[in-house]
Amino acid sequence: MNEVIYELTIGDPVNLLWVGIGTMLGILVGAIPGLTGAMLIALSLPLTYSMQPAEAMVLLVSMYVGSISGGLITATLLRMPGTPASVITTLDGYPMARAGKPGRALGLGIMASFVGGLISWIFLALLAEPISHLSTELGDFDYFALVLVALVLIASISSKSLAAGVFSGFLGILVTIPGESPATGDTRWTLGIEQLNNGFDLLPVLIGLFAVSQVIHEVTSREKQVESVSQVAPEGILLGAADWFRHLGNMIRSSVIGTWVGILPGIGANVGSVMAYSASKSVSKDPDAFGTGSEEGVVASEAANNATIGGALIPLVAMGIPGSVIDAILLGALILHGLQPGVLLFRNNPEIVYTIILTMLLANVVMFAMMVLSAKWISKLATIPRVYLLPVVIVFCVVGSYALNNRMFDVWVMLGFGVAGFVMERATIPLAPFVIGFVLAPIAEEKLGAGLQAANGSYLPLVTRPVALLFLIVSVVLVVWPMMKTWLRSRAKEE
Amino acid sequence: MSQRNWIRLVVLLVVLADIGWRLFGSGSTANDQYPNRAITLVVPFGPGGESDTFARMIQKAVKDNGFLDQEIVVKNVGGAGATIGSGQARKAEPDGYTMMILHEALITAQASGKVSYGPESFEPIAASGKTSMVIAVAEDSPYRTLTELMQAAKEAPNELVFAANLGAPVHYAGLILEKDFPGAHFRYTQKGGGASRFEAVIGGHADVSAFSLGEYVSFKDGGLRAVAISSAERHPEVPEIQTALEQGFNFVHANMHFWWFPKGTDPQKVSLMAGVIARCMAAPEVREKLALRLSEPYIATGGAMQEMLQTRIGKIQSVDATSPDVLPNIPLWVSIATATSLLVLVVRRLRHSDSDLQQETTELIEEEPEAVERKGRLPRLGNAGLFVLMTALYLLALEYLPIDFRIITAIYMLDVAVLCGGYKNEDLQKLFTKSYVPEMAILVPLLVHFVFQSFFSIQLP
Repeated sequence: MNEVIYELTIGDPVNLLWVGIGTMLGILVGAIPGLTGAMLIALSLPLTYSMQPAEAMVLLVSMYVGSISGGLITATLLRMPGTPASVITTLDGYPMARAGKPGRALGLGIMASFVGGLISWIFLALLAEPISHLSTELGDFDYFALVLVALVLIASISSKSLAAGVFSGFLGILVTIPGESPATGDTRWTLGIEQLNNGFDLLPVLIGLFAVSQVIHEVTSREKQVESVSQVAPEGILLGAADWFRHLGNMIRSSVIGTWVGILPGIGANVGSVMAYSASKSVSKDPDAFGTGSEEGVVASEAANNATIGGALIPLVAMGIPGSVIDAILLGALILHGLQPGVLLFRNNPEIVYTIILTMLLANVVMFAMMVLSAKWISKLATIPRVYLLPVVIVFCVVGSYALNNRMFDVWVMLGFGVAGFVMERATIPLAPFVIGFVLAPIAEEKLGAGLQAANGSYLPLVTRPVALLFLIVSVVLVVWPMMKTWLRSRAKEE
Repeated sequence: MSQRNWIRLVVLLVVLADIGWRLFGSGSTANDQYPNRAITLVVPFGPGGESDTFARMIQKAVKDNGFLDQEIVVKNVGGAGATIGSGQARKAEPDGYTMMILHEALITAQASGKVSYGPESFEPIAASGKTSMVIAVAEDSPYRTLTELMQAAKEAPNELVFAANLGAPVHYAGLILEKDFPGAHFRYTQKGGGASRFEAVIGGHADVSAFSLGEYVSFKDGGLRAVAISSAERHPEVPEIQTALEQGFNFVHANMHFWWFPKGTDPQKVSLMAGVIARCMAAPEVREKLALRLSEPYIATGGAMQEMLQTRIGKIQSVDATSPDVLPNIPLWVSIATATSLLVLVVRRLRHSDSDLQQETTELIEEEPEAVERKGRLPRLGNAGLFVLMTALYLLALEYLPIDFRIITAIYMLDVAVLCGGYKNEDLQKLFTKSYVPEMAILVPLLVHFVFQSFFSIQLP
């Protein structure tokens, strides 16, 4: 362990350089809608062929940390989430920026990202091995019930217009139907279009809904500059001790939620930020502010999505089970360098495990420094006149969607969902429930399907397995509670 | 010189550098001999997986040893059990510049009815690399041999849970075993990749699964126990595992990577490429890498490969992959729920439309006076239509016109800038004299093209 620390810091400055380069590239790619960390890491993989395994992991893990963090910049300033993980950040970060506090919104996001990364790093460093064994104890029905909890949270984050939120959520689920059934692998609803066999990919749908629809919105606007942030006040990026202290509870809670969601395979940063956001809203003293520029909302979302990094690395280093798409690529990188991930890695190549763990810490610190130092400059992004910004953004959207699978079909999907997003916005149907439904439904269907197949069609395990039952009760409560609250409130009003 | 002229000079230099680089830099002189340009290798999976790693290893060996005058460019087209990529390769020009690497999934996808085409729609080039499969149970499982396991599956048919990747080779391993032991039936559950199957077995959610030997070795200390290996003889790395053959099962099988050209490719090109792959498999660095993953540097071409392919097709087609249908009709339920929620929304909106509107306006006034003002100025909805139309035209041009990405994109960017800048006809001149839009429209496509093509080696349309 000491050797690794030495190697990573003073012994071999090359590694420090890789941390810097990786984090910077990650932030950059994370901030550009259409380019994701998964893409960057997958595409950089061949470049690491000639590196030492440890060096390669340093570079790739730094990119991971940077890319999840960078998304908050464009999410806050332009309402275009740079990465899927920061969709929830747009809900409050953007209203804050519009209200003339872009610097503070960025500052809160950066602080929360840093703390989220740190807390999940503590989990990673201390509990990598013991925790990972827990995840195999959970069965398909347990996972299904857990995802159900996240799904019904749709209802609680769209309390302003419940009917519109629920409709949007179901629409998102409906969009996952065409293509391959996650439960059986059969294709359905493809209308004979072979390209549709894989359904609609997450990335083009998200780019379409958020970035392209925003571009369409801007094109129709009569303002000269991007409507988002009219005056940029970059002060407030470096927050005072009072701010750190005020948001500490929220950050710890959101980070712990994010870490645990990260540990569970298959559900990544997107779900982590949704769950933490809803949790913060339900304990908040001012829940109505959520969605209109609540500081707590920004903090919860960003702390949680960064915390999923450490969480997802836990099963990866301990058992070779990837917790997210990016982790799956990291797993491929280990194999590429002739390292067998899993319990053997701990025994045969402990230096690799410690390198990964230490890199996460270093990259987190570097990310914080880079973001704080550059935020002032980055926040100017919002003052670029539309004639420059929009053409560049839309070209990146097109190229990014194409590069995902090397096919034009995804670009058409992106354009289609751009129009859909624009229409939904005009009809005041919220987009967030759509995304949650779209992301979670395939996981829910896969887990339910696998569970039913294993139980020969019986739903009984949903109530006989204690974990599944617990989550099931939680989700029922989450559905009933908001309704109860509205009902009680309206009764109180009448009296 | 003014700032504008400096910028113009930079743009000019970049454009010249780009043209120069393309004319002289790449160094390839056109000749008639195949191959005279880069060959695209379609990998129908995402990056980082088993097939992708294998493909990139061969790609690197070809480049490092100079087996071909031209480079092989890997193109990942993942999704839907490799059928998106195989569909794309099938429709490519059979000119020898598109090939594909894909294992038995090409056969199983057809057998399970996922797609209508199979190996007959391609020209097989070679079969390479050989990885045995291991049938494994949890460490605390009562079954110690394959016979015990199959006996249990016969005594209580459809009770033992087999973690599979439905419609993929792992699923067929179970089906072929069942066929060898009449009366035995597993209950298949969808688990996907090796890590998920491993997790299901050691977590007690499935009784048995099949793994590649490499997967098995990396997972076994996590609590797996092998009951059989599919090689003809015991494997030197894991001599303790009995073969299925010595336990009386006719289950001799190895996962292989097959290489394919689109149907109708010149046989000479096929045999040239087969030779290249064979030389790669003999290269020491490839052998070393394969040994690490417990794969054999096996290679078969020509008649031997054809024969083996036919046996595999026969074996896979001889079993029935349909599982009992125990799942609810999810598309139906989701459709009903969506329609219902839409109905509720419409009814609510109609009923509350007046009061809602009032409330909204009061809210707006309280929060932000300028927002109300903005509401008064109607957005230019026509622009939205124009923009979508323009983008659609741009995409069509990218897809079907043989014009360079950079030129089409530059024109498109100019159009978008004109549209969102709200320029009128008389202002258009201003666009060129007062702004940097034209410079941007030239530079950005060049940069994007350079970064993607050279750094990420993604061929833009």
